[in-house]
Amino acid sequence: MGPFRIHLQTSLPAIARFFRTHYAAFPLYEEASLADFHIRIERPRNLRRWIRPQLLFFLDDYRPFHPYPLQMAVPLFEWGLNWCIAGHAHWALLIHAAVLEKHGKACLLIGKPESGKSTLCALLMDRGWRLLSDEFAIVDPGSGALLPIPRPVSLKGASIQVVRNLAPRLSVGGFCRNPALDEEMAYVVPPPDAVRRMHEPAEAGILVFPRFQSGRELEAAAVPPSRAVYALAENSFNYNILGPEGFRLLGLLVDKCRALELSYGEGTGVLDWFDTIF
Amino acid sequence: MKTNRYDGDQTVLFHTLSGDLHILSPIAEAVLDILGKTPAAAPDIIDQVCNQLDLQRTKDLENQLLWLLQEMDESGLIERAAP
Repeated sequence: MGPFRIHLQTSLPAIARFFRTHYAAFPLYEEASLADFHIRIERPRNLRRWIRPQLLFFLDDYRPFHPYPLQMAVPLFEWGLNWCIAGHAHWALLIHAAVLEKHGKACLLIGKPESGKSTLCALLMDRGWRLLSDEFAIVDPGSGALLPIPRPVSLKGASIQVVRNLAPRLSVGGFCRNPALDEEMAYVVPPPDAVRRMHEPAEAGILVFPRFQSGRELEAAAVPPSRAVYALAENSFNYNILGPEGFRLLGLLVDKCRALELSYGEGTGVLDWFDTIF
Repeated sequence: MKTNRYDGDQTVLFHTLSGDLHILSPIAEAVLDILGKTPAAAPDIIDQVCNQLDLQRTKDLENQLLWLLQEMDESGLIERAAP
C-alpha cells in the first residue's frame, strides 16, 4: 500500500469480503517476510469468542489495543493500520490530512475529526482529483514530495448519505455500526487509477484547513505562514520525534504552499471552489 | 534553537530541547537576539529592544516587556541568571 507492505493474517469473513471489494486493485506479494507490518486479527480463545464476541489486534505478537466488538472488524483493521503507520513510520514526516492531486499539484486537507475532510476527500475524488490518502500526508524527507497511500476513504454518520447522494458513482461498502458512538461507518473504494499510480508522488501546492458548519456561507481566508507551520505541527503525528528535521519539513511545506482556512456549509459550492485553487 | 522567519509575519522557533514550537513577535525575537549575544538585566534588555525596533520607551511598554520576559522564562526560551 503505497510505501508500505502489509502482511495480514485473519480468518474473519468480514475482513476477507472487505479486501475483495476495497483492496482489489492493490498488488498481492508472495513473500510475507518482507512486510513492514505483520498484523493479525483474530477472535479470542476464551468465552468472548462466543459471548458478546470480540476481536484482538496484534502487531507482530504485541496487542496494542483492548478487544473490539466482532462487528467492528473492518474499522479495527483500518484504525489498527493507521496506528501502525503513525507510530512507526518515522522515516517520513506524517501529518493527519487528506491529500488529493490535480494538475500535478497536491492539496492537503488538514483538520481535526468532524472538520469534513473525509467527506470532501470522497466528493473531490468523484470530481476527478487523484486520491493520495484519506488519512496521512506522508512527506518524503529527501524531496519534500507527498507519497501516496490511497486506501479506502472512511465515512461516518450523516456523511455516508451525503456522499451517496452527491457522488453516486463512488462505491461505498464495509458498513458497520460503532456501538460506542451508535454511529454507522462505511468506506469508499479507492479509484483503481489512484491505486495504479500509488508510486507517483505529488508536489504540495496548497494547504486547506476546512471547517464544516451547517448553514455556513463559503469563505476562504489566508493563513499566515507562521500560523500554518503551527497548525501543521498540531496535526502532525511525529514532527517532534523527527526533531529539527521535522521542523525543516514543516517549513518546506509552508514555503511551497498557500495556506487557507475554508469555512463552508451544505451544498456543492465548496466543490466548485476547489476547482479554482490551481 | 532553530527558526523560520517569514517576511511581514512572525518568526516560528523550534526549541530543540523541548520539541515545542513558539511563534515569536518581532519584540520577542529581538529579546532572543540580544540575550543570544550576552546575558543582560531587564532594564538593559528594554533599552536595547527600544533602540533596535525604534520604539518609544513608555511605562506601558516597560510593563509589557517585563511581562514578556516572564513568559519567555516560563516557556523555557530564556533563563533568569543567578544574581
